[in-house]
Amino acid sequence: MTAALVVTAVLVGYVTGKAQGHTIAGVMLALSILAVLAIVTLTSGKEIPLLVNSATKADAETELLLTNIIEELKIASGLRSTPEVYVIEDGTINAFASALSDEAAAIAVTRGAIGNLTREELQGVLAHEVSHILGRDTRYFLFLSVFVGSVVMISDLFLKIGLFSRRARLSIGLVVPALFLALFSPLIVTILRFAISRKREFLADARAVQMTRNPAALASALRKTTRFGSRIEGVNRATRHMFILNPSPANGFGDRFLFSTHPPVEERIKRLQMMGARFFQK
Amino acid sequence: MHYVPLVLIAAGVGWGILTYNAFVSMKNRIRNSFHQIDVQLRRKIDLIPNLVEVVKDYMSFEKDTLERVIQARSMVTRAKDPKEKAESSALLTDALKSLFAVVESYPDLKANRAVADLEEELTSTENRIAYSRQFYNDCVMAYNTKLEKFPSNLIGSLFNYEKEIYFDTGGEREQRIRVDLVPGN
Repeated sequence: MTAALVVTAVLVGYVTGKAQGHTIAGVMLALSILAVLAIVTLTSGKEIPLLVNSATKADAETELLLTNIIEELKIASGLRSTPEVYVIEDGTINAFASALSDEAAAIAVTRGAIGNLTREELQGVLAHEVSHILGRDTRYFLFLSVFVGSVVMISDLFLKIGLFSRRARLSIGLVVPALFLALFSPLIVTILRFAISRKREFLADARAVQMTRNPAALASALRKTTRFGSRIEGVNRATRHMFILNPSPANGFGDRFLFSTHPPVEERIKRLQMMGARFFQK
Repeated sequence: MHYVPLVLIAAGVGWGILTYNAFVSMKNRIRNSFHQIDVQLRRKIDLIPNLVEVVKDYMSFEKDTLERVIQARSMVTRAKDPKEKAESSALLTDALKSLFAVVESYPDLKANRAVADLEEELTSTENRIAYSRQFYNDCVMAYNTKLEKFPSNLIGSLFNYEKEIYFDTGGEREQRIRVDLVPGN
């Protein structure tokens, strides 16, 4: 992932830099922009999503069930420290994880999930979130956001320099790729991001089963969400992919196949049932 | 071009160091996760006195059930090797199950917050024990696989790393922890 970022930055810097006759300078500038963006996301990532979704920290005394399940999953997953637990006061069923490392991780879950799911179902949902922490998915997506941002920024910057510089010796062969990058890279990267997000959801489901060895419970938790809903008001679009279920579903075009952060629930349930049939029946 | 063999040797040594270090951390993880099983078993044992304290007044004519729990608990505390511990722990689990089945028929007890909390704690501890065993076995599997696979098996055999044994509650093979982390000792 990091390698892809660096390669893209070097490529964009090279192409656009070459157009100016300053190939090395182009690459160096592209890399330093990338470095600055990466540092900013890495140092500010953990708190932002929690603020956006107005979650409050769970009290170990009153939320005995919740803290117990997290402790169990910490053991099952081999995480080095226990993630912080937050509760979102919302009647729907949903949860999300936010983490930059094993040590700085947080999981938030809705009140509706605690109230309406059985112990095993809740465990399945939380295992899915722990899987996101284990897979470094938050960091992954923070980098993806940086990726989109930096590609747009770099190509935009070079394009402007190229078009308005008097010294520029531009040939059509170099302007076209730069123009193409500037115009289409946001779209391409966005589609890519959604595709990766959907894959990551399947992966987190599978990892959750590896932890709890209980695909049926996660499947039935997912099924319950179709009854209770998973929509949470006021969720930032940028943080949608961090939830176990899409918190703002059915937004017309935005939720269609190519632009969905989550695979269809039925498909996830189907795959979980397949796992159950294959590995857990005697 | 005489630097080519030098580069190759350096790469080989570098790889060897990385592989050796991977074995060291895997072995440490196995040791740590084995310890975790004991920690969680201890937690289970420690919860029993509280439970007995809460329910004993209500259960004057269910002495047998309570007695079984107390006996099974002391069996766990006296158990020496992991296999014995696992077996007595399973006995304790059974005893606790019948205890909570009895609790169901006492409305006062069922409504008691302390009993409900203890039941939740015991359920959680049961899970933790199961998960710590599972994680231990997963670690052993990863380690054993690396030890058998080429080319990491070369480093493994060079430093006398041996295969670890899976935690098996009902198995014949005896469980043992090896602490010879420093190879050759």
